[in-house]
Amino acid sequence: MDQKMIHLQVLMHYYMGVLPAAFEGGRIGKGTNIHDVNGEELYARFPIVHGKESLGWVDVASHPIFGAAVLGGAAGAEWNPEALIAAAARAARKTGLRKWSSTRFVAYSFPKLAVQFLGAAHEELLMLELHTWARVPEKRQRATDEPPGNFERWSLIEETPAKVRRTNERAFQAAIERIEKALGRLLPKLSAIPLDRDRIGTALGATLTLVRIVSDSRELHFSTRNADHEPCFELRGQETNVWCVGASTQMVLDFYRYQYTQSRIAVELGLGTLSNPNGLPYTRDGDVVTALQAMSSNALTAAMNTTPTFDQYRTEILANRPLISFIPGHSRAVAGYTRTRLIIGPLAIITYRGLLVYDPWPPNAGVITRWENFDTSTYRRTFTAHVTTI
Amino acid sequence: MTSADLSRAAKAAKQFFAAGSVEDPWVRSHARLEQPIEVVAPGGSRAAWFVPVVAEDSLVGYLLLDPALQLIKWSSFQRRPGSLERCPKANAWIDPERIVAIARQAARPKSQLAMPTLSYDGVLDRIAWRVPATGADGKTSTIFVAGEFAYAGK
Repeated sequence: MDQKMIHLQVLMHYYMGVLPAAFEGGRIGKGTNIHDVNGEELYARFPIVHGKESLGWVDVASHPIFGAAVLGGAAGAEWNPEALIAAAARAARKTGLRKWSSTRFVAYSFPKLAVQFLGAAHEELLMLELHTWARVPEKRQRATDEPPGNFERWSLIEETPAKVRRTNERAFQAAIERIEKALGRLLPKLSAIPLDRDRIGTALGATLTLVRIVSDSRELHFSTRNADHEPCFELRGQETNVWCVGASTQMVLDFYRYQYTQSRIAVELGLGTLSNPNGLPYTRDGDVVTALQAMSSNALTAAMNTTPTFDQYRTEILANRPLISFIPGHSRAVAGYTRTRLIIGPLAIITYRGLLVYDPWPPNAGVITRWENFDTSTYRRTFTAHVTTI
Repeated sequence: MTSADLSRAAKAAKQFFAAGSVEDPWVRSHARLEQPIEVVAPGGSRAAWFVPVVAEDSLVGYLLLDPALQLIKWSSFQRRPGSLERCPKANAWIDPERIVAIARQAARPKSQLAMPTLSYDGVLDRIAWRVPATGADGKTSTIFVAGEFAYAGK
């Protein structure tokens, strides 16, 4: 994306209400490239400034892996890359590093950032985590399907499954093409104005009459009939610190009126007992499918998906079916989705996607997260279940 | 952590709260934001800011902001909009003395418990207080406290 297109994307996301209202009146400053572990440019971070005041920043994708152009914005924060590089250099010298040719920001474990010090041949000399200045360990060989640890470098580009990558790349290109088609002729006018809703509206001129913001959301109801009561889903807290899978399974089984205690579900999943519990190893993810089917006497047909997409979540919720969602190190249930689109004429040019997450953590309580930004989260697995009908 | 960090986090949380990140209008009109609490990663770095949202003496939910003050999520303990039923007592999440008292349930007898730090167990989604414990034999361990639930760390 060129500078004008980036400006346009940020402007329209702001106009749509996806970026913080605190950005009002701000201008977009000079961007800083953030690289993937494999060296490719991943996204750029742009400060939002008003005079000398920093209003925050916005992240804009450079790589199509995200499937969306604008990744998010932070209000009230300052992005000062020069100061961060200077602090990183001080920390690097303390480790004994004396010379380097260049530095760059790296998403070593997206969205966690580090500063990478490079030698003359572009080889890495050192990588320090932003702010803590802890040395980021070398890449570790992991078993197939083993999720990365909490402080570990991994490449978002390389670890995104090929199917998801293709879907996201198509969505990214389409988003750019659509905004170009809808607003391309207004680019010179729009690229000169700040984040000011009134001025954006004026600049859109006659096009404004074609602008619509359309939201499409659904939560689980009693049935697929939208007039039926909602939410028809209950939160269950995990009963031990490692039974997130058990609690997620319980929420789905409860929805279909199969009432089991978590202890009983734990037996089925091999999660030990209340007094001596254990978690589900990643090598046994598939056991969830077996448990859902066995505990419903095969009235439920379950499946595991290793490349979760937003469309899959949406399709299941529209069919009034909850899902179990695995993220690295944790499991939750999903009971709703939201999708907000900025539409100009016939073209949907910007989309925000979120999930309604029933999270069994903390133990014996759980929380409901409304909404989890789908485009900035990492999803490992989904488990679906549908009633086997004649 | 400086007081400037704290006030920046409080300001950002207030903006998210006012801008509608918390969708339930009842929460926006009845609840208040408490002081942000730093979430510290096991390595000592700042992992996030936990901003409690409290109504009466109950914790309705919390805003979680990343170190750059970007909203990670709004998570609610409410089972139904406008209801505090089954929301935990706020002091179990924000009062260090109460947290240490809860940690004692999972500590070995006669253990000395130090000041708790808000952290997480494994991944940030599993937010919990980390309470260092020293047993009578001098061995050190960690007790995690998540609300009224306490357990020994592995």
